[in-house]
Amino acid sequence: MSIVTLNQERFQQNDIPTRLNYLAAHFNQIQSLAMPGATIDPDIASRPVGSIAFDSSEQIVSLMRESRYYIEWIVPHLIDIDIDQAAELVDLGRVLTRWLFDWEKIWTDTDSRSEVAQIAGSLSERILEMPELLSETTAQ
Amino acid sequence: MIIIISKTLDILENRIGGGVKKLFYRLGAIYLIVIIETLATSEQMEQMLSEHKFYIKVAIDIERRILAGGGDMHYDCEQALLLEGSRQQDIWAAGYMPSNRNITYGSMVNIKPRQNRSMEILDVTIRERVAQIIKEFLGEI
Repeated sequence: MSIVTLNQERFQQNDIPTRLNYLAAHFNQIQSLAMPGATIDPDIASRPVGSIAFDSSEQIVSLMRESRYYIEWIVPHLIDIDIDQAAELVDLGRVLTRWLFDWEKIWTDTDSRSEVAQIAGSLSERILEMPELLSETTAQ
Repeated sequence: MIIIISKTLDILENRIGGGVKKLFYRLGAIYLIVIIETLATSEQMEQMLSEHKFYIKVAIDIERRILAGGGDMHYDCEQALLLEGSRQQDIWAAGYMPSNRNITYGSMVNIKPRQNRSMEILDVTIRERVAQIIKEFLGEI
């Protein structure tokens, strides 16, 4: 948990729009890596984790799990500003959780991977819209 | 009792053999969720404590009186209950610390704009039902 705690402190030093941008970037990466035939990010693939390198599937699992933490580190600060957007983010965590629970099946099925990639791309775009909606809410 | 363990962990274990424990924490790909409908055994308590050591994340279906405990986040417990046929609106999340029997009621998954506009469970009746199930299933160990 110490790594997570350190990341949390660093992450929460950012304002909410910046945190949302980080989350959107994660979904964007998930989209790229989930595409059937996606190549491994050479920077990450060359990095040893224990005795093996990350492959795309493991990178996605890592991104999904980290994204759930990002959501957990955004929502408590968002809820007083806009509860509907907070609830929407919580729902994104539910989507990630469903994928994590089913990941082995998804990863080995081309259609499922394509679907995950497509949804992740749409969600990334949706998250990028949130800071603008947020400023509209706070301006009212 | 149903235990759900991520298949990803199995794959990693098969592929690289020993020394996998550190790796799967690095990847975060393990889920050990216990679902109970009666008093937990000592073994089940240990399983539920395996992720956070002194604290158990739980999700409870207050209508069906089922508790899912363990895992990394409340999301995992909630998802396990949904897979077991629970309805989203009946599921509430809490935390339990066996050492002092303290119950906390705050979780993201409790945010339900039509039912509960907070991470805390605001409805006293729901909170009492959650507490009652936790005490009944986990509190006597």
